[in-house]
Amino acid sequence: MQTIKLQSSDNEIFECDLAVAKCSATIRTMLEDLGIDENSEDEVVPLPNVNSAILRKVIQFCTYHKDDPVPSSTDDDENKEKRTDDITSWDADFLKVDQGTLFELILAANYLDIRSLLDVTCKTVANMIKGKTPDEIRKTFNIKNDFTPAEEEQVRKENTWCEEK
Amino acid sequence: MQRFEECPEEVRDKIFSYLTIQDFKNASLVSKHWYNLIGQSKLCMRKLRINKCDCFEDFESILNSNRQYQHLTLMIEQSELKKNTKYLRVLRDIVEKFSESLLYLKISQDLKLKDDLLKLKELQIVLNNEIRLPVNFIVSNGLITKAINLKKLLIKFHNFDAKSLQYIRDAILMHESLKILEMETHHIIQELNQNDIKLKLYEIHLNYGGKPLKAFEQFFDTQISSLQVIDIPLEKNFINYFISKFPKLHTLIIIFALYSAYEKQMEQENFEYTKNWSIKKLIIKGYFTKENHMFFHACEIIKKFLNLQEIEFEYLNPGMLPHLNDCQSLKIVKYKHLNFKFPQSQNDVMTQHERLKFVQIEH
Repeated sequence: MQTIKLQSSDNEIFECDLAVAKCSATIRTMLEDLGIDENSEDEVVPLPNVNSAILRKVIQFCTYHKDDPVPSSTDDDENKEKRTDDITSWDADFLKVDQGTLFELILAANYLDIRSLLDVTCKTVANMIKGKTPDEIRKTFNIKNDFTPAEEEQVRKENTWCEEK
Repeated sequence: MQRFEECPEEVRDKIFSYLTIQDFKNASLVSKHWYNLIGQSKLCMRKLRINKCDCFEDFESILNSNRQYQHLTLMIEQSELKKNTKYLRVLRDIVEKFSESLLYLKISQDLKLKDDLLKLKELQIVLNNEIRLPVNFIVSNGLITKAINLKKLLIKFHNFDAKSLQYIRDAILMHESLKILEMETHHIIQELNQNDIKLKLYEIHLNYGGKPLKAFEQFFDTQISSLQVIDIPLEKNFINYFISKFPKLHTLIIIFALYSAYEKQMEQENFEYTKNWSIKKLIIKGYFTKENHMFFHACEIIKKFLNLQEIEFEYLNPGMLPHLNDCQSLKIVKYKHLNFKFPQSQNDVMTQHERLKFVQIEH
């Protein structure tokens, strides 16, 4: 089985399956465009935006999902109500991490362009907002309400003008 | 620690794409920063629209909003709009304030003003005979001049004098991008003393008699490909006039609306079929319940078009079908409304009219 070496921002080297690494569109492009020789033993792909803890998680995710069918891009229709309740139990367990790690995974998925990881992490964050009151959202994300009562009233009023027809 | 706020915009929008309008409202109340994240996201603001705003104080407080609204519907009573200039002032301020983001603006039930100062694709001005002011308002305040990408202009109003026409004309001339002009008026347009002006239009809908076309003809260039007329005038050579005027005319839509317009028998020599007619598609709409003058008039017109490719009927009276010439494609919509038994199905129609290759029936 062909492998590839990936280097995290803190200089740790990870050796993983080529097929796993290729879940990342960014790595695929690097290999193709930059002419990195897939067969060379010593070649290392540097990933300066991803630290070792996150890269380890990303490799774990991609290893599990490497045989998944490529998701179709037809669900990009923004008018359609998108589902967030279709996260598999493996993914849900995988994403039982602190919020900092969750957002770092999102950024890594975005940078490495791993569609399936970006989808499931964004859905997880969306679920932290969906159907919640403003106060619940503040607690979840540890945010201070900095509105004055008058400002808050203005936003509430604005919201009432935006009722659905 | 990474936080939601620090995500790049495209990631935030991806997260937002899973949320509902109610979620956007709740998230806006979390903090000032979150309010701005939602209010400045194009994705959120496409869905978060002002639909229920009907008192003057609220119009004024819209001006304090930091959301970049794309859609605004403001309900103003006609009578108020007419007598209170304060409404016009606040409207202008609103348009000014949201000029970067606004795509759709609708004002009251009777007056719709759809404008996007810079990006808008469609402008709709619907006036009844009570309201004159807004047309002047729109133009004199330079609102239309800013809508540089306007593609479609729809104007409906009943009192159509030289002055309002002047406004409309100015509005049209400012928009090279304009492709579709729809006009509806009971009154015939008076003289226009304008020269050297050509409009690049592809589609015109002229309601009530098609006569306004003559007043406007000097502005039109020859590119128009689609023309809609209501109650085609019985005067001599009217159809020939269209055709000679617009050699690229591909689609002609004729709406038969007033029985009384056809009381006179159509004169046979009214228009003659010419091989050069470019019209390939004819759409006939009308409530042809009886075989009256209106019906015969429509049949006469159908007969004249020898080289049609497509014909479409809204409310078909089957008595018209034998008049089709070599046309191969037939579409019938809403025929059930007239309670004619025929046609039952595509096959029925096709066996009776062998030349037809394609038949579509929509109830």
